[in-house]
Amino acid sequence: MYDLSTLLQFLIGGLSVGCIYGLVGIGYSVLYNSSGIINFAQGGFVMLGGMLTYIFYSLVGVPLVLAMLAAIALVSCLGLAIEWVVIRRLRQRNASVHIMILATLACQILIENATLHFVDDKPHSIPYFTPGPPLQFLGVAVGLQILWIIGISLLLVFLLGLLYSRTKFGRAMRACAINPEVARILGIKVERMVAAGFILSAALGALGGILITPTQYTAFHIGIPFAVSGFIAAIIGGLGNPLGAFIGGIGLGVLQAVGVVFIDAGYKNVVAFSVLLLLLFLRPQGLFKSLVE
Amino acid sequence: MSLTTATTRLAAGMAVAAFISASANAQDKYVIGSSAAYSGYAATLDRAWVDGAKLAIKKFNEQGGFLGKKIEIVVEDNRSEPQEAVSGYRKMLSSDGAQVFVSGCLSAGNFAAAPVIVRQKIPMLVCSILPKEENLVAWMYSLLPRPAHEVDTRLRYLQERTQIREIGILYDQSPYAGLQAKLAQENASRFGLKVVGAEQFQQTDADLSVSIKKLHAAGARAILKMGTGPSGVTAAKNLKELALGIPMLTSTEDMSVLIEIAKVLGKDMLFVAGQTQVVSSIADTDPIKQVIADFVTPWRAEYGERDPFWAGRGYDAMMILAEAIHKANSLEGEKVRDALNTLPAFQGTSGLYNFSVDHNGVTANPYVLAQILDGKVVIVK
Repeated sequence: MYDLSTLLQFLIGGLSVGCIYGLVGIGYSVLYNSSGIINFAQGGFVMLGGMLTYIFYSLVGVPLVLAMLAAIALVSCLGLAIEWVVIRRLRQRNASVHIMILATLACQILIENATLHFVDDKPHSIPYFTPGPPLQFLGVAVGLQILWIIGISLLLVFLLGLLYSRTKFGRAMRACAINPEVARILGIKVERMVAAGFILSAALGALGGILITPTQYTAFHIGIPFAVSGFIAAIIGGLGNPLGAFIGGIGLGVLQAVGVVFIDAGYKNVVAFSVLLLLLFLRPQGLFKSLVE
Repeated sequence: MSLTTATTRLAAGMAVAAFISASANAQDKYVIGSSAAYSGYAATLDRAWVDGAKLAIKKFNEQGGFLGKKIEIVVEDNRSEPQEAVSGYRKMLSSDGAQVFVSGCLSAGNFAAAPVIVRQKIPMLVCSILPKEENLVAWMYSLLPRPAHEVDTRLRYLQERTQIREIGILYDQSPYAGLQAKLAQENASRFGLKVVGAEQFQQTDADLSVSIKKLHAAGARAILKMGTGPSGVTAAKNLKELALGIPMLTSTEDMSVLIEIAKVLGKDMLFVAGQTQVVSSIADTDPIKQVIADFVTPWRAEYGERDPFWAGRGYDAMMILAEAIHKANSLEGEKVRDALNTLPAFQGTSGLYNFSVDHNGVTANPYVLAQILDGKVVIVK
C-alpha cells in the first residue's frame, strides 16, 4: 500500500492531466454556446498555440510574452477565417450541424498537414513560465507550470461565467445557440455572434496550447488527441458549461490516475471510461447544466 | 446505350487500362511500395526512413536504375495506425503493382499486411521487428537490430557503471516496445538487476507522471523507456516536475527528440545511440566509417543537420536490395528473395547485415550508450 504523500502525488498527477483536458474542453463549450457547433479543429488551435509561440520565441527571437500574444492573435484570426470561409458558407447553404462538424474535422486535418508541411515533424517546446524546481509540501512535488494551468483555467471559467451571465454580449451569444431564428428576430446579428464564438474559442484553444506546451511538447500531430480528450471533458461536464468542462476534465484525469495506480497503466482508459459511461447513464446531460438550455 | 452495355464497356475499359498499366510497370519501371507513417507518433522515424531510401533510389536511377529499369517508390501514409497500413498495402498491391516493399517501423501494420503480401511472393524489407510465423519471416527482412541489443546496452551500463539495481520500465503500445519490455524483464537478472514494475502508456498521453511515480514508489531508481517518439519529452518533463533525481535511459531515437529530452534532464538522460549518431568517435580504420560518409555526405547536402540515423536504415535497405537484384540478375520476387537469403555480410550505416544467417540482419550489437552534454553527443565510456 502507498503512503499518504505518494497517494497525494498520484492525485496531483491526475489533477495535472485533468486540468489540461479541462482547459481544452472549455474551448468546445465556448463555441457551442454561440453556435451549437462542436468544433473538432479545437485540437488544431491548441497545437498551433504552442507551435506558433515556439516559432516566435525560439526562431524569431521575440520575448516569450509577446510570442504568446502573437500566437493567440494569429490563431484567433484563423478561427475567424474558418468561420468566414467554411462555416458561414455552409450555413448559407442550409447545411446541417452534422455537416458543419465534419467540416471542422476537415479543418483540423488541414491545420495538421499545413503545420507538417510548413514547419516540420519534430517535437518542440517552450520554457516554463516560472523557471525553478517544483514546490514541495508533505513530500509532494507540484510543478510550477501546473499552478499556472490551474490558476488561468479558473480565471477563465470565472470570466466566462461573468460574460455569459452579466453581459448583453454573452447573453446574445447563448441566444444564438439556443435558437438562431428567434435571436435574429430579436435583432441579434447571429453571424457576428458565431464569428465571435470562433474567435474566442480559437483564442482559448491557443492559450491552452501555450499553457500546456511547457509541460510536454508541441508537434503537428498532437491536435487530435487533445481534441478527443477535451471533447470528452466538455461532454462530461455538460456541453456548453465552461466550469463543467473544466471539472469534467479533472474527473477524467483523476479516474485515469486511479486506473494506473490501482489496476494497471494499460487499463487506465478502461477504468476511466467505464466509470464515465456509468455516470452518463445516470446523468446523460452531463454533470452540470448546459448554459444554452 | 443500355445500362448493362455501358457497365460492360466500362468494366472492359478498366480491365484494359489495368492491363496496360501492369504492362507498363512490367516494361518500364521497378515499383517499390512503402508503408510509412507520415503522421502520428512514428512520423519522424518513418519520414526519415523513406527519405533515406529515396536518396539511394536517386543515386541508382542516375546510374540507370535496376537492370535498366527506372526505380519508382510509392509511399502510402499509414498514419501510425495498423488498419491504415493494411489499406495502404492493398492499394500498393492492386493499383500500383509494387514488386517489393521497403516499409517503415510500424510493426503491427507490417504484421497485419504480411500474410497477403507473402501469398503474392513479394519480399519485404522493413524497419520493424518480425512476426513469429515462419512462413511470413521467410519473406521479411528486418533492418532493425535485435531489440535485445537496445535492452542489453542499457542493462549492461547500469550493472557495470552504477549502483542502481532496481529499475522501472515505461513502454508504449507498439509491439516493438512491448517486446523490449518483455526482454528487459527476462534479461535483468543476468545483469544483477531487478525490474520492480512495467507501466504501459499510449504515445498520445499528455502526462506520464502517475506511472513514473508508481514505478519510483515500487523502488525503481532508473527508468528505462521503451519505444520511440516524442513521448520521451513528456516523460522527461514529468520526471523533472516530480523532482525524483533518477535517470531515464531511452531507446534509440531521432536526435530531434533526444535534444529536447536533454534540455530537460541533462546528464540524467542516456540513450542508445546508433553508429551514425556517434560517427565522430568511430576510428578511421573501421569500415563502417566510410560507409556512413558515403551516405551522410549527400544526406547533409539534401537535408542539412537532420539526423541521418533512421534514414540510414532506409538507405541500407535499398543498398541491400540492389545487391540482391544484382546477384539474382532478376527483378522477380522469388529470385530476389533467394538472393537476399544468400547474400554475404553487408556493411551498412547501421551495422553489419547478414541475412543469410538470420532475417534479423544485424546480428552483432551495433549500439553504444550516449549522452548529450553541452549540445554534443558523448559516448558513455
